[in-house]
Formats: sequence, C-alpha cells, structure tokens
Amino acid sequence: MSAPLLELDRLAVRLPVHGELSTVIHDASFEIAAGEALGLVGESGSGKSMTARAIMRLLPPRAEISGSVSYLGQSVPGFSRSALRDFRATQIAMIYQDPRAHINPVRTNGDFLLEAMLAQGVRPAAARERAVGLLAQVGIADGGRRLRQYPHQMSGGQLQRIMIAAALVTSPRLLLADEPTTALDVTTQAEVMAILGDLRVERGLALLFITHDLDLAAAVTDRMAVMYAGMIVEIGSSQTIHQDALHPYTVGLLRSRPKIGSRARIWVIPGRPVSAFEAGPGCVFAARCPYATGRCRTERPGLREVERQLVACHRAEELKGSVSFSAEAAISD
Amino acid sequence: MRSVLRIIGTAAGTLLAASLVIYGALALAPGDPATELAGPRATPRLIAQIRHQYGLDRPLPVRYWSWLTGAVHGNFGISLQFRESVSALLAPRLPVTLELVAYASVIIFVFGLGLGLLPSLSARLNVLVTVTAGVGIAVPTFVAALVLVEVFALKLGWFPAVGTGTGFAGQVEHLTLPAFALAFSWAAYVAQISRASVREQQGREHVTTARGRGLPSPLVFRRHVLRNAAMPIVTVSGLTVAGLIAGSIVVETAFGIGGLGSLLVQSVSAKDNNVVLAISMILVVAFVLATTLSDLAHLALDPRIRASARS
Repeated sequence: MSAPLLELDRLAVRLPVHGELSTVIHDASFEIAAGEALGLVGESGSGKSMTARAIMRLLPPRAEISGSVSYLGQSVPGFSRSALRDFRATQIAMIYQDPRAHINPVRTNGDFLLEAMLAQGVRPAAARERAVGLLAQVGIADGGRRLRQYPHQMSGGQLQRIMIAAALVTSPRLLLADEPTTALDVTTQAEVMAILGDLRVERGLALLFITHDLDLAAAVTDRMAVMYAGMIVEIGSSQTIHQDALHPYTVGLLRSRPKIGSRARIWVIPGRPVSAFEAGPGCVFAARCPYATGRCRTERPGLREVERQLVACHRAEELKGSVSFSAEAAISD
Repeated sequence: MRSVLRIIGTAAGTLLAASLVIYGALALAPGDPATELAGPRATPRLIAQIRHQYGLDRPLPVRYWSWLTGAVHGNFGISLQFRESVSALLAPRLPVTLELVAYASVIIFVFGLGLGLLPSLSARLNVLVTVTAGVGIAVPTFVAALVLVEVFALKLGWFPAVGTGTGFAGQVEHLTLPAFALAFSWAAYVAQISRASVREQQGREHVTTARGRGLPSPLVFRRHVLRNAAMPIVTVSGLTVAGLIAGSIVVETAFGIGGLGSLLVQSVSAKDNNVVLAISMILVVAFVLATTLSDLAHLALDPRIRASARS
C-alpha cells in the first residue's frame, strides 16, 4: 500500500489559556488516503477544529504540539516558511463553518476568489474565467456579476458555495471542511453537501469532514473517527460505526440523535461533556460512562483493533453489542 | 450618491444649529461689549450711543438674522477692539494657523501611524508602543510646548522659541516646535488607535482564512489587516485634525504666533463678540468638514455602509 496522503500520529496540542498551557488534544492518530473522505465526529469543544488547524499549522501563537502530522511523508510542523506557504497554496484548502466571518467583508467576492490565483501569478483574465467556471460548478450561474458583488449581498448558502469554489481554485488534493453546513438551513445544507460530494469524486479530492452530525458523516464519508475531549475514541468504516459502534461514547452519541416523527424528548448522555484539560489520568469518557471500572479511571486506553475498527476502550470486547445506557446498566456499576 | 448628499445636508444643518447656539450663548453671556468699549469713565448716554451704532439695541433674532445673512456673504461684521472688518482681521492670521495645523497633521500621520504599526512587525514592540502612546496621550499640550522650548530652543538652540518667520524655510523652522507640541498627544492617540485596530483585525477569522490559503504575509497584512483597520484610523484622524485647530489656541499663545488662536484669546477677554463668533464658526466648520470627510471615506472603505445607506 502506498503512503497515505495525510497521517497524524499521536498528535497532542496544548494552547496557552490565561498564561498556562492547557491540553486541547490528547491523542489524535488517523490517516487519510488520496481521494478518501474521513469524517471527524464529536460534540463542540472536543478538539475537531483544533485538529484541522494543527494540520494547516493555523494554531494560535505559542501553541505547543507533539506527535506528528505528515503530508506525503513530510512533516508539516517541520516545513520552512516557503514550504508551508506552498503547501497551503497548492496542496490543502479549508472551508469554515461561518463563511460570513471567514471572508473579508470589505472586499468583493471576486477579490476573494481570485487573490490566491493572482498571488501565484495566474493572469487576471484566466483567473476570472476559472473562478466563473467554478462558481457555475457550485451552482452559482451568474458568476461574472457575483464577482463584482460583496459578501454581504450573498445569502449564507451562496457564500458557502463561494467559499467552496475559492477553496478549489488552486486544485488542492486535500480539503478540510469544518462544519461547512452547520450554519445553513436544511435544504441548503443538502444542496451544499451534494455539491461537495460531486466535486470530490470528480476531482479525486481527499476530504476531512468535521461535523457533530453522525448521520451526515456516515452518509458522505468512507471512514469516520469519533472524537471526545481531545481524544479519538473510535475509528473505522463509517457504515460499521454507524451500525455497530463499539465505544460507549459513540453508542451514546448515536442514541442521542433526534428521531424524525418522534415527539419524545431527545435523550442525552448523562453528565456534562468534559474539556480535554479536565480529563483525569484514565479514559476521557470514564466520568460519564455507565460501564466504567476502576481501571478505566486510572489507565487511559489507547486505540486498538477490535473487530473491524479501532477503539479506545478497555472493555470493548466484553461490552460488544450490549452497551445500552439503561438505568440498570448505570446501577450495576 | 444619495448618501453623499445626505452627509453634506447633515453637515449644513449642523453648521446652522451650531451658529445659532454660539450666537445665543455669546449674547446671553454676562458683560456688555458696549460698556467694555466705552471705557471705565463712560456716561450712560455714550454707552447707549455705542449700542445703537453697533446695532446692539436691536432684538436678538433680528441681530442673529442680519449676522447670518452677512456671514453667508463673507461679512462677519466689525471688530469692536480693532474697528476693522473681521474678515480683514482674519485674512492674514488664518493661513498661519492652517500651516501650523497642516504641519502638525503630517507629524501625527507619520509618527502616529508609524508607531501604531510597529507592533505588527514584532510582537515584542507591543508593550513598548502601548506604554509610549499611553504616556504621550497623558501629556497636556502646554507641558509639551514648555518642554520643547526648554530643550530644543533654549538648551540646544536648534529652533527659535517664538515668532512665525518669513519664507517657506523660515516658516518651517519657526513652526517646527509649535507643530510638535501640538501634535504630541494626538500622535500618541493615533498610535494607540492604529495599534489596537490592527491588532483586532489580525485576530479576525478572515485573516486566518487568508493565511490558510498560503498568501504571502505582506499581502495578507495589506489586503486584509490594514485595509479593514483603516476605518477607525480614518475616523480618529479626522477628529484629530479638527481638534488641532482648537488646540492651536494654546500653542499659538505659548509660542507667540499671530494666528487665529492667539486672536481668539485676545478677543474673548476684550468681549469682541464678532471676532469670537467668527473664529468659533471656523472651528465648527473645521469639525464638520473633518467628520464629513471621514464619513465619506467610510462610504468609500466599507461596502456594508454603502448598502445600509442606500436602503
């Protein structure tokens, strides 16, 4: 098998908060092959966006990282300034949750779409033609007129399409999509996801799709990684995880989805989500897990192969298929 | 275009309202110009005669109206202390003040903006600039004037301490210390604002996007940081230039410069209302002009303001 496009090995990130370094990512290991779509799923604050930022080297100043991030076998943290610029300009692109904040409001859409190409020396006429073509592909027909307009004249959905087009103008090989549809209404969300899916297949683009929506991730990705409190707790084929999740957190996450047609209250995992820096020495989920034992609280489980996926749980084998989060299970602890 | 007209209309309205307030305040102020003019041993008859001669016995609204119609035509009445038309009195003094203000503006622009942008080159300079600017803002103009005279005129003898000088070089030489004294705290203020707004913009999400696209840092700084930070800087600079004309009162008095500021001080103590009124209106015009220009600059800089002004 050839080397993966992107490989993270025991990535840990610490950020300065009030002058002290706090851990935001404990342990993130995964790889993305060329053309593959990997979902990174977890709730707010679990470290998904920080993982993407670490890959792009866009972490806040004075952030500390350990472990490795490599792109085509080369260490991203080891890139020189010009190699980093090159990497960002030609290999990787990122689209963000809130296009309104992530696109300069005082510059035209055209400025935004063209600047990356112009900086690389593409001639303005060619760059414009390419931008209009890409806008058509993301479902914006009157591209020529849109280039002259400003971001505030676009709807949220249109602006996210512009963001997608802008990410693709330089033909990257890897796209990081950080909750690209969360700020959009459901219909627009479906359209944007369809566009993203088509373009990805058409261009053989690898995708890291960050979302809190497990169903959405299962629908659009080949594999997915579930993240909790700065740690990847389970990773495997999207279909397998969606149907036979092993980690109690993943099972809980799957159970707490709203069901269409049901008027019942949405079930929630008991307890409060912890931040990465609050986690004790044991399993990051131990405090909320009904199956946690003494070992779970003192020894942190690493990712290991169980069945067809990787899971970070000491009791994965014995609990397989029986995790239920019922009242009895909680008491039996 | 409609928003441009609206801004200009607002400016005209402000001028009219300000003239009414200033005229009314001067008329209601204690003390009588006629008594002042007649001297300490004047008879009531003489005072009444002077009042009549200068039209001071007419009702306030009539006086205001005749002043206003005159002012529109460039006639600001007669100075009581100099017995000369106010326009003739101001004509030679206005350019002196404008030169001083222009010189100070250049200093503010160069030093204020320069100092404010330093921290974006190196984060370590941030504290230095913050402290320097903070101290600079706190120094009153007259203190700056005294220190500059003491050091550069008396101790070092580099620049003259008083007067206006002749010829361009002479004027620049004579106006250097006054201009620096005038610019001092304003330059510090502009530095403070530029530093803060550049810093704020650098933390914006769209700047992260631009960096993430592999754009060269100077390009990111120019197109996405400086461009967006320009708006608060332009506003403050506009107000600064307007404030300089008011600030020139202190500086002209301290350096013995025959501009509008020193004339204003002299006229206030002589109750020479027509002169006070005319100079006050020049100050108001300067303020209105500066804010109008910065409003127009905002229209040019921010498409969102253009959009909201249109709807």
